[in-house]
Amino acid sequence: MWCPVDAVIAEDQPAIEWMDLHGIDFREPFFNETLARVESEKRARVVTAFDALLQFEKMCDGLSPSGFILHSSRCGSTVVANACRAVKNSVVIAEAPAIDKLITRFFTDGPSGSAKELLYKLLLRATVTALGQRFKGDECHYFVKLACTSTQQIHRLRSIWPDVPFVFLYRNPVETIVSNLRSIPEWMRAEVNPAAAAAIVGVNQAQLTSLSAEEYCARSLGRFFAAVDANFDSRMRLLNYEQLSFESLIEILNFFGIEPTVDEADAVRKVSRLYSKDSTNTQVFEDDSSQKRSAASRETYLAAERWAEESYDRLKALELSC
Amino acid sequence: MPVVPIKDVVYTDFQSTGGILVDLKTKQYYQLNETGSLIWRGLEKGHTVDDIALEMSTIYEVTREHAKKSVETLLSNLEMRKLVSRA
Repeated sequence: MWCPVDAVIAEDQPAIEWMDLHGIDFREPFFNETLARVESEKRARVVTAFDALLQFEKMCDGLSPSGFILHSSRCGSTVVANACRAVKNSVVIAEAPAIDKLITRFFTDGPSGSAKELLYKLLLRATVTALGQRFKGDECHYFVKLACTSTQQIHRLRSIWPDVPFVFLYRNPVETIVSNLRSIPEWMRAEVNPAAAAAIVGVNQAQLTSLSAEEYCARSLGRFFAAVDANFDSRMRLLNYEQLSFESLIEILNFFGIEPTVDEADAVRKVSRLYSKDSTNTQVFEDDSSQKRSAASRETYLAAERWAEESYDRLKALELSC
Repeated sequence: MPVVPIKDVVYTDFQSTGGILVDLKTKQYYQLNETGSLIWRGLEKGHTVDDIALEMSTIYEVTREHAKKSVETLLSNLEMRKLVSRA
């Protein structure tokens, strides 16, 4: 069962790396963690030209997405993904590199209305379809969690899947910045892809080097929030970190069209009490909001206030009006 | 003479509003608009130019002659790029 696991460059050409994922259980919080677990199995891999995706889509009997999970980073989206995982016969693909790398191409290489933009949309649709296979044979629900930076491409995502429900998780910007500064994620490392980084942050490449980490993060958060605000519709739900609970997780599942059984609801309740990124499922969740706020530097507060608070407040108001 | 898509060309539709043709040999890709997509799908089904022109004239409320001219124009363009052939 071939699946696209990465978008790569082979012989100077964009290419797709495929891996045989037959029988795999995506139980880890992130796609790459699952791949790391099965690394020792030495599953077959192959690299093809990108257009193989389009051919594969035509013959692949993949699941249609039941819901997409977008987020502003370090805000509880993994808990939501884990709640989706608690539903029997579900497959949850969380931050798969092939998907997020294709979405990143929109920042630098897919001008609005261009043939390339349409090509990337079709490749993205094909990638999502190819990852939504029945790996164990009985899956019927398919959830896709994207990288936080993909939020800025929400208008394109909505145009590809206009009828699929999307949920956006977000959190107080000061708390989010503190969390990201403690452990800098790849999306905040501008040197990985300076052109995309500049587009995400909303500056030119020359300006990138002069930004503090606080400003980099705050500007990005502000743009994530603004993108959601500008594209909000009835097929979207907002969920603030402060509202995360067993009840809100069930509501999100309902929004995705799932009515959990008693057993599944019990599993969701367990998920809501655990630290989401602990794959051993033993570490209890503790709300660290006040601790993060008190640990925040003055620069963090100033950056959050200047670049993110206004759009954050707009989202909160939007949430209340729904 | 019937016109048929070259077998190394893959068409992918985007919500019936257009699509992309990829020539697997050259790796060139081409964007088709809504009517171009309708014409391509007609070719895939083995329809003749007249069949496609009739369908176009029904959907877009244009004369059959006007539709046929549009179909022929696109087919010449596709033929020049070696995406279709006269069977």
